Amino acid sequence: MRINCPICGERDSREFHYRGSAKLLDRPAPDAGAEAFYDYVYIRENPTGLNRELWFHDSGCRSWIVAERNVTTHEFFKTELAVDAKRGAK
Amino acid sequence: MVDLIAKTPLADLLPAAAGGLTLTEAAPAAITSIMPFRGKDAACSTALKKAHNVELPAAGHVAGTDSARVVWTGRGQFFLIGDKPASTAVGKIAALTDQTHSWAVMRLEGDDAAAVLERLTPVDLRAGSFFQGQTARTELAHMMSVISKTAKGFEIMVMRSFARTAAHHVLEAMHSVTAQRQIN
Repeated sequence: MRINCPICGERDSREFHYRGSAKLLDRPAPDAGAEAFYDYVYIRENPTGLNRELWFHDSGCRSWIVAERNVTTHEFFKTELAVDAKRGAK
Repeated sequence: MVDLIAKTPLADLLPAAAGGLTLTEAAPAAITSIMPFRGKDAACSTALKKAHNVELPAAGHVAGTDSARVVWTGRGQFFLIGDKPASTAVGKIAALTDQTHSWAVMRLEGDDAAAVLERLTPVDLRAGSFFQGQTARTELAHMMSVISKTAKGFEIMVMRSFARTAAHHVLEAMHSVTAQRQIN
């Protein structure tokens, strides 16, 4: 499996660490309440097909990456730096 | 006062050779990590040019000469490697950390150098795809490493605590490649 790092280019998946759903980027506001935080911390979709997820290029450039991956076929469709996904790509 | 003798990370193990391959230790006098503050890359490059006559390279590249070179080591991070630590002028616009004694630096040279690393790292380092002046932060036998192409081969950096393991793996691959060449 190879992952296209926005900085390093296509690299072997052994250089990356999987962190889970990209939902982690959408942290609720501090005053959003217990229900919203419960949902943020514990509730995850379990899709077949396309999933938006976080990967860390830990043996490479040490970037957090948002990747769209088909969890059935392991095909990657789109990768971008998490910092761009969060702040808005320039 | 007692003058202590510093020992380099690979003093007991290197230099070593196998076939036409050599593995030697390069113990740079100073390594400084430079992490430019947000939006200060250009200013940092100018400050480095003024103080060390070298600019910040693009991602995946090395700039400068052996006496003062800057190696890209990750997103927003560079190592100034050479005779002197980074000037305090650079420290005004970037976070500086002394890394001199934290890394083991090796030079692998010889015609088969890429074939040796092929056994240890997933990145394609062959002559047609990895050129002098390029660097890759990648795995070397499951250790994080910085591998740069030099004129005669590669410069390999691993964290000092991995020095013995890294040298062992590279030497083993050197012997393996040499043995295979003798059979073929």
